[in-house]
Amino acid sequence: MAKQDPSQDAKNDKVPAGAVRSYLRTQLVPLAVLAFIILIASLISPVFFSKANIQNLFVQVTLNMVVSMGMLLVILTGGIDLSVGSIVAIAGVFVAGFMRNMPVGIAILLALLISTAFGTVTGFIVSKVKIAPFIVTLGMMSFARGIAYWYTQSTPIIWTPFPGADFMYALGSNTMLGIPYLAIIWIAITILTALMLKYTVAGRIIYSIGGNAQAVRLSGIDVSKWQAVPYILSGLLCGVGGILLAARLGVGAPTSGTGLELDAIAAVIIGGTSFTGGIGTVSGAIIGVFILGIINNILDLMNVAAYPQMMLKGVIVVSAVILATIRDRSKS
Amino acid sequence: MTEDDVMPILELRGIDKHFSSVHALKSVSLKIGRGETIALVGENGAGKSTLMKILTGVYEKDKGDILIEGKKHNITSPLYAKKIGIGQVYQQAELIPELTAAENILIGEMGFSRKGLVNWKELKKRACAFIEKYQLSIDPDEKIKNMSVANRQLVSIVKVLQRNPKILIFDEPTAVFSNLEVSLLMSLIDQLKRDQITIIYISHRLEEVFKVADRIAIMRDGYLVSVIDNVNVKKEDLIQQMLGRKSSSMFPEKANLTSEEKILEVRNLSSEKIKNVSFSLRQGEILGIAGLVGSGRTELARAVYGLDRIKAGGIYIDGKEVKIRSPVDAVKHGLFLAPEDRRGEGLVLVRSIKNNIILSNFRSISRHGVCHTKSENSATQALKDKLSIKADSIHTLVGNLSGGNQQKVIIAKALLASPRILIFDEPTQGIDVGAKSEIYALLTKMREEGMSIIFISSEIEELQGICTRIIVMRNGAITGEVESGLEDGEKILNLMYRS
Repeated sequence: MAKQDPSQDAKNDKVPAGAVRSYLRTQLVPLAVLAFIILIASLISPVFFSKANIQNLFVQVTLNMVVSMGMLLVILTGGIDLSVGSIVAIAGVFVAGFMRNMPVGIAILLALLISTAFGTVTGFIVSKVKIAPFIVTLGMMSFARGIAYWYTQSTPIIWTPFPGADFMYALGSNTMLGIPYLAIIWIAITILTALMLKYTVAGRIIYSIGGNAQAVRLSGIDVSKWQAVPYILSGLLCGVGGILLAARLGVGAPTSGTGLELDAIAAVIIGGTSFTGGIGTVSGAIIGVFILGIINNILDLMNVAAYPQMMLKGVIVVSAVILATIRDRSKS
Repeated sequence: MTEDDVMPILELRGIDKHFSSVHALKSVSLKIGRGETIALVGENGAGKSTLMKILTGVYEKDKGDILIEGKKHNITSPLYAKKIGIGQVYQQAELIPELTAAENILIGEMGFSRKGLVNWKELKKRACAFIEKYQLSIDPDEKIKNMSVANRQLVSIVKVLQRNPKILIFDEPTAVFSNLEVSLLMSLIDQLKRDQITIIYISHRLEEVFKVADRIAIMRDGYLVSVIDNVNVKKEDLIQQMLGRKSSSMFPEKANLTSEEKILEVRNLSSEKIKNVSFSLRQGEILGIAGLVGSGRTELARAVYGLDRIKAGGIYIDGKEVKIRSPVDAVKHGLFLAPEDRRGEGLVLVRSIKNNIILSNFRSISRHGVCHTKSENSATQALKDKLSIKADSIHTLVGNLSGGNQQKVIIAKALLASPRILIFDEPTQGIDVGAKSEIYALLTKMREEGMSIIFISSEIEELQGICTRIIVMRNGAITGEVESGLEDGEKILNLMYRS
């Protein structure tokens, strides 16, 4: 049987059994790795399956999950966004800063607007000026981080005395029917991203640009306009991620999100997305985020110190990319 | 020299090659003597390049033997071909623009000194020796990126020569050359002949063939139809042998044109690659554009479609001038281009049939930016059935389809876009005969339904078969137009080859 389009694996297909099977086939490796890691985790630590730890896990993955959705969109078009961590910091420090003298709702809105603006600038330079996204977002990474430090004078902004602090605390730590608010938000975002990719014109065009931008262009579609969209959305999602992180930590810190680009790229690639674009799914990225999140979680449970964790993460990420590259090569 | 002389340096015995359903080479046998220059001619798709790719190890033959100096060789890779002394001159692709001529020539054999450093002096001396030997006007220190196309070609040739090949293959070496540059190459080849290097020369430019070849081998439809000594050969005879007998049953019957109305007019259009081109397209006709590779056919289509910048001239649709700066504008004005390079420019190979087709017209299957799954499935399913695209379902990846079926996906794209003017660049390139005739029938049907079509092709036969009118291009300009007496292929060929 010829290969099917993985993005078409949906419940509304005529042959649901076939769709499920072909979904499992495309996602087989990441799913197997996830299952293996869960098995290891449950063997290593008896508390892994405890309600408190599962809740904790779902909270811990929030930031990377939200940011990975943006990263997925960008990588699907064949690009890359290295500025995600810095924009997360931007959103965090600005929302905290703005809460000093305005209602929390407005502060959140403004912080989202600013992070989206950063994404828009990146998108414009990549798509209209046609500079390699690697360079543009590398520059943006430094620029945005610089702003975060400058705005805070490199001291984290704590909002305890400000009006609206209660809302932020609730957002960061309350649960509904045992599910953390943070988890509800990221679940909603992943569903929205999946729906967008599957059912909207934007989603179809994003996939196709990654597959062959020239073919899209010749079809009479304004490729440069659509090429900017994933960077804008990535900016927005980093904003959301930054605010959620700040809500959880209780501060807006200029250092937050450092090294996050590595986590997000790794999650997306581990989830079966092709570095060259055009191939990849939301569900794959979710699996990727969980694989990384659970590894982190176990190491925490085992009281492994932060620095060895960093070392291990580097090894995992590069291994994942090596595997992904081998996979892409064997396909072509 | 004839083939009965001593032992041939190269002997091909019954070479056969299939590509899925296409029988590309049919029991080709040929002997070439040492120091001989043999020209290989034939229409596009006759099998010339396939034969050469088998010799250079790019493809593996299905059947037959290759003997070099009487010894049987199974050429399994380009590296193997290189080792046994078969060299091919490629068009620039092998050169590195940032390096100098000397560095490029010897990059494969860069001798490293004991300290692991490149010995530049030695390198340059060796390169210079080669350049001097063949009296070339190349500066060994000049970077490739600053060189003219012809000089780059010369560098590629020297690069192959320094490996001392026994057999040297030129595949369309002059496609992008001016006449002066051609004569430069000719004198280089003369010298190679004096050095007793065996040369296989493929070219569409028959004048060159007459100039360089000792013998001329003619290929058609995968057969080697004849090998003639290059004495008193008439161009007309050669062309006739290249074309062979016509198989008119391939083509649907032509209906007469009903309209004289000009839907598209191009006036004095110039771009980087085309010069002062004027023509018009009538409502409901299939206008053919003939010309060799590099004659400006594709570039004309690109200029009209807003892909190449227009320097002068104008495009008129329904008598009104329109500004087309991008494909977006072109599509807005009712044009649609099905490009020559279908895998590189026409299709998204990693996406499904459905997702490729709908790219051309999202408006028809979406509302407020949301795709309507039912209507996109039914629309693409209907097109798949109508064009009998052979695939499991509309969700099959386009990359898994055969060439003919991929081409049909492009036609389906065009049908969904329902343009008033369709530009089709080499739609039948590399697809088998059956799919070809299906595509001819489809184009004729689209024309009958009122679409106006520009049909670009290197195959004169198919242009004659389905076009109502043919314009011929050469060197970026139109050299003539043929409307009545389309059967006269030689007239068209003469316009294509005339220098």
